[in-house]
Amino acid sequence: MNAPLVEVRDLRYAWPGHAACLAIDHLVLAPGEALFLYAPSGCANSTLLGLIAGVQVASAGSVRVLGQGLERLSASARDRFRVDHIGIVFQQFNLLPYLSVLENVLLPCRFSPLRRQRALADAPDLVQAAGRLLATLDLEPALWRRRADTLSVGQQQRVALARALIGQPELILADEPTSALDAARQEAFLDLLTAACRQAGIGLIFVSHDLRLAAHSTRHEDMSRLNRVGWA
Amino acid sequence: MRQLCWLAAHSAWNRRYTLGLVVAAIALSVALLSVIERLRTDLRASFAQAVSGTDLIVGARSSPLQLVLYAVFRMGAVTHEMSWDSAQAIARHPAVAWAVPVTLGDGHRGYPVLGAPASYFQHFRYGAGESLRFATGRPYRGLFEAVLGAEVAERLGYRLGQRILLAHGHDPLAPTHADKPFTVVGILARTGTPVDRTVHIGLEAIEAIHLDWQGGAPIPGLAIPPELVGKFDLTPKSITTVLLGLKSRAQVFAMQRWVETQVGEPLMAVLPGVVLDELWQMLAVAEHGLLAVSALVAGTSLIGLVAVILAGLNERRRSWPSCARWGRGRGASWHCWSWKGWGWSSSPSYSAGSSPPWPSSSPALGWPRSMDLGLPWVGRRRASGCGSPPSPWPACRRAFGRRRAPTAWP
Repeated sequence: MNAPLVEVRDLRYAWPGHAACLAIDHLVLAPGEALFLYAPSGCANSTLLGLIAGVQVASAGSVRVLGQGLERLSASARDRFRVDHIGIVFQQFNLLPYLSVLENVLLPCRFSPLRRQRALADAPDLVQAAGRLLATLDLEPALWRRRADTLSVGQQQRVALARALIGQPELILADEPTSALDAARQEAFLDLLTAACRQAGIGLIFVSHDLRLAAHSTRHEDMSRLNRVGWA
Repeated sequence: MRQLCWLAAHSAWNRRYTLGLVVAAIALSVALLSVIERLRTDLRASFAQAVSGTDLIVGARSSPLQLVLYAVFRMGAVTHEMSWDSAQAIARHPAVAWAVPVTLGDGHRGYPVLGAPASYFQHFRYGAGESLRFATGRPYRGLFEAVLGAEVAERLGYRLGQRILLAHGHDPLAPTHADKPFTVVGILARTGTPVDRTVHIGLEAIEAIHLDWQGGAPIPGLAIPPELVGKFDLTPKSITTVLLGLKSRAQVFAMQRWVETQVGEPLMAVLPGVVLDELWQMLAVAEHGLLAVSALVAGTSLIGLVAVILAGLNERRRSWPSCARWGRGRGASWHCWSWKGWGWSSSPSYSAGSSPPWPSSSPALGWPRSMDLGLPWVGRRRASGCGSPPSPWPACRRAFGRRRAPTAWP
């Protein structure tokens, strides 16, 4: 079996000055695997994603992504690692409103030479690479040059997905990516998300408090059981 | 870094109106500050430079301040005059290089009239030892001739050959010496000192216009026409003050003592520089007031600036908690807060320094590098769109949008 994409071991985390909020003994994600993390609010699920992304560092234990122990990297090295290897889809999308759709999608390529290189591997230039992604996500070319904040909520979320997918990161983290969408769009978006990850062989961790969405992935975990702090 | 600049430029352009206002506010307050500071130093300079090269000012014994104010700034009045004989005695002293007797008291439409021999134009110095220059014309030679300061000529629109009447006293309503008009024969170049506001005539002319006056009014029934004044002795009986230049500055204290003890009249001699310094110290209250105003202006604009940044951060409400969430210390959070504020509200500013003063993953820089996660996992209760609005209108729209935005399933 391949080396795991994500491996969490004996993880403990506490916000400075607070009691421990996260204690996970073991969690593994294989490359290309899709994991649905059922997380009722208050289970420190965002904290777990932050730890996997290297925004925070574990108080104890280790988080390894692609075999790299994140706690051994400096803060700026973690930033670089993150933009190189991890794509993220937010609940709030976090698009830059003053940039065009294309510019938003290409942001990771601006800050990561690796992602840029990968994006250019199967397209002659970056605009076509982004365009291809946007087209598969059902965003017609007329929208590409518009400001991100002029799009509808559903369109914005698909742009955010394209931004996470561009340049083939190894891992995509999605933190309640659908809670700003209505029920029908939730299904459609998740189909897109999981299909795109499966197609590109990208590992996916998908956090939601909505159990009905679990059908989109093969593997499920319950955060309230995973997290042994269990105070919430 | 180039990418950052690019992002910063876009961000700045997006908020160009707010940014423009902030820049204008800062520019205005800086301008105000520097103007006040400039005013303060200029005031002091012009004050100190009103007279130079005059070693001693001699007058009847009273307050040194009063004497200097009157002789240099033509302000107030002196209560006593000194006799012409004493002035002559002082002028003859071997230590004296030059002596210019001066009489003040008359006025012309609110401007003071100074009576002095023509040698005044040669000896009087101001600023860094500059002497008076004539913009046009020449010093007076005849009896009823006058030389104007630059401001007098400009304000009243006088040219050479203009006939002017002098009044008895500074009060514009004072009785005039109407029967003895003066002709303007010279106009001085601007000096920035009280000389600009002065009408200069000869000492004899002062005598001449007062021949038929007594106690501040014409003597009834006695009118001496200008043609006849030459028949009188026009040597002054008394003068206001004598400006002294010494051969050597080292003798100034000896000369001062000599004037005050040996002339046989209660006189005093003051060093104008010393008195001006004392005067300035009295005015230091005003100076401090100006300084306080400067400080207030600076403080106000700073508070305004902080308020604007805070408001901007409020718009970007996710940034601040994200700092805290990143577990940085309070100091570092403040740092990243303030830099972030700058980063957002005037983003190009941090493109200037090649290496920023915050740790590498602090938000202003780490944000774009850690592109996807820069504003992570916070503000999730907000259910509306992205980013900050370019103008208040979208902000309103967003605020309403937020209210009816779909909420998560329970």
